[in-house]
Amino acid sequence: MKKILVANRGEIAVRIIRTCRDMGLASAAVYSDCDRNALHVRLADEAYPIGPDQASESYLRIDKLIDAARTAGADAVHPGYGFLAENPEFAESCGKAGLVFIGPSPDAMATMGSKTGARQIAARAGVPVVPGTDEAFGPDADAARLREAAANIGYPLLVKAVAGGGGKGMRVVRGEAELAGAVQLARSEARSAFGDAAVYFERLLEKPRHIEVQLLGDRHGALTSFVERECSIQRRHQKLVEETPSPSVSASLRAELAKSAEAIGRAVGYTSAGTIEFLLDGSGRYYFLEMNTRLQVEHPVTEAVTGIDFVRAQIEIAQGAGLAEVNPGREPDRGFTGHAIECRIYAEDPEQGFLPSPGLITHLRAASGPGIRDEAGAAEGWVVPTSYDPLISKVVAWAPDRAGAIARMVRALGEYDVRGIKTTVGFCRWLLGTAAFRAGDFDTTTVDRRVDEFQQASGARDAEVEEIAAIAAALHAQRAAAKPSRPQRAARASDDLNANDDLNNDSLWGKQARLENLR
Amino acid sequence: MTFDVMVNGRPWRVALEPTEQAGRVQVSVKGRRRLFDVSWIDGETLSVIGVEPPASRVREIGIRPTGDGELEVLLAGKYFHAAAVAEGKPGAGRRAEGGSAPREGPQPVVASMPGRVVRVLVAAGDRVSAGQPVVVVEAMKMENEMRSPKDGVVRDVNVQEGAAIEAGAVLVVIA
Repeated sequence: MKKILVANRGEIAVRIIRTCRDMGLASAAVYSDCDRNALHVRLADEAYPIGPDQASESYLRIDKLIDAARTAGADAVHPGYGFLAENPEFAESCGKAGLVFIGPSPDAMATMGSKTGARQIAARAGVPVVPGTDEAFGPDADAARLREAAANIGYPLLVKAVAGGGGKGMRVVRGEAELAGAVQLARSEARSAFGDAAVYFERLLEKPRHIEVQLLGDRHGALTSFVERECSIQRRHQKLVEETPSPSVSASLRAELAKSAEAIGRAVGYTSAGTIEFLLDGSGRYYFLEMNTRLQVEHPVTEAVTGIDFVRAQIEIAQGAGLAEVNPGREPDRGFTGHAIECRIYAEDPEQGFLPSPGLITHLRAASGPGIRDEAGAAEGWVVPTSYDPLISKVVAWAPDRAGAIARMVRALGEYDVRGIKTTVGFCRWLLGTAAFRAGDFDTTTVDRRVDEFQQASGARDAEVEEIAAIAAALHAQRAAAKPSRPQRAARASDDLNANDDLNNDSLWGKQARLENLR
Repeated sequence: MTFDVMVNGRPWRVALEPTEQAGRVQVSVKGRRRLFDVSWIDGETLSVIGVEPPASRVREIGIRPTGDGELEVLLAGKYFHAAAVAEGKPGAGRRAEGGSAPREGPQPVVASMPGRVVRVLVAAGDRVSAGQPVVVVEAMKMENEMRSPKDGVVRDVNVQEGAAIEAGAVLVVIA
């Protein structure tokens, strides 16, 4: 293996490119029109255009990706997560084109990629599953049958895309009146995100925790699991903060989860990195939720406490390496050191109900320092496009214990300076400061229930801070008053005082000279 | 120089006096005079150190014009809407009030984000109730329902399914 086509974009493409470089492998990126200047393109060795902005015409086009891999002379393809990562047809097409697909076998992917199929596998492996429909409902399933199936499970329930993941194609239904609308929204989202509109129903567990177990399997039949990840901090089924280990999992539960996860993995002869997701109810019972047959967004927290590079492990396994070579002798119970937390930085405005906030990033200073890892797909001067997932970065903090990891994360988020777009930085910082988070007392509904408190906290008046804002505004006005008047500014030439109005105009030397005059 | 400043709808009066020392500015607010060390890190980043023994507090402020004389100020992780005009000039107090739309009369349903219209759920003449979804907009792979601000009748539908829209676009008008 000499060159890998990275069939993805954003932070995960950057992540994969970095490991390729660590391993001395060449990386070939792909990009849609609006991603020409994206960080993953800038960091790759080679890059190939694959079409217009819409994912359906670029990142979801198997033919274009295979063509790009051929043109590049790549011998393997890494799909990242999302897009085609869990599409067995893509894995198969890669195989047919003589490309190594860095992931599980198309068969395992097809079996587990169907949420309904996966539930049956888990049940047969003796693992408890959340009550739900065994059958999937295609686009032409009739309304009466949907109502009947829903009534059998009982409300509240979840409508979920059979091909789903990442909270997309999923809707909560509290009563029959909401059913048809929710099915339509879920289907439409699922069709555009995964190209498959089939949905199924699952009982909505009240206030569960979301716990997941990372698996790694080689192509020789060996498979192991890793310490669990706690992913209960979600907003509308989209994970926001993850950590490992979970503050709510005892050593004995950890062993049980590991055993169940491995049983499911073995049942499908799983190879590569994958994740078994469980829901944990208030009484400590756990249920298989689904399997993600790919690298998980939150894999870096497990990397932080195990020292394993999961992208590297995936590549080595795809090259035929045995587990012992990529994962030397680790047991789930003792194979981790310290505590790690990840905060997802989305281009969303938490003060406006988390509305998407795409646009130009005018300033970006990422978090860094002891114990901090910033996994960014964005850079200063880049325009966050509207066409894709709003995740722009993940900040990961590691420390010997949970309190230390929280402290480091709060510090890092305080340093994280991103402007031009709104992000979840402030929200995460607020959340990590709450007593509930610090006590580990939360479930998957906590964030949705407590968003209002954040609104109140952010709306609360701090006269001292407001006074500083007023002083800053006055200083800005004073500086602006020293600028030439409008007509002159129109003629501006190299007058860098216009930097405020024109981001493309940046003569630092001139600006510095101007600053000196102001002093 | 004295400025009338509005921050999130509240008025401040800030007097700035230069000092002999470079970068040092005497700031007076509400009768309190303080010395600040002021430095622009770049055109949109202001570093101020409140020179106030025993602690000289460091603060970094992001500040940029958002058009129409308004400023967006980022401080301590929070955004503020501000506007500042020199004392005696018109306009102070009018801006940055975050004024609310009138509750009476026809009201627009405005796209809160750029994206693509995936479904139009109403037609002109339809009766709608407050909070009822009228248009579904897809942005960043999530579908978002744009809702009617009031009970009423759909007067205009300005968008079609599949249309690309900008933030602030008027999708539907409810009379």
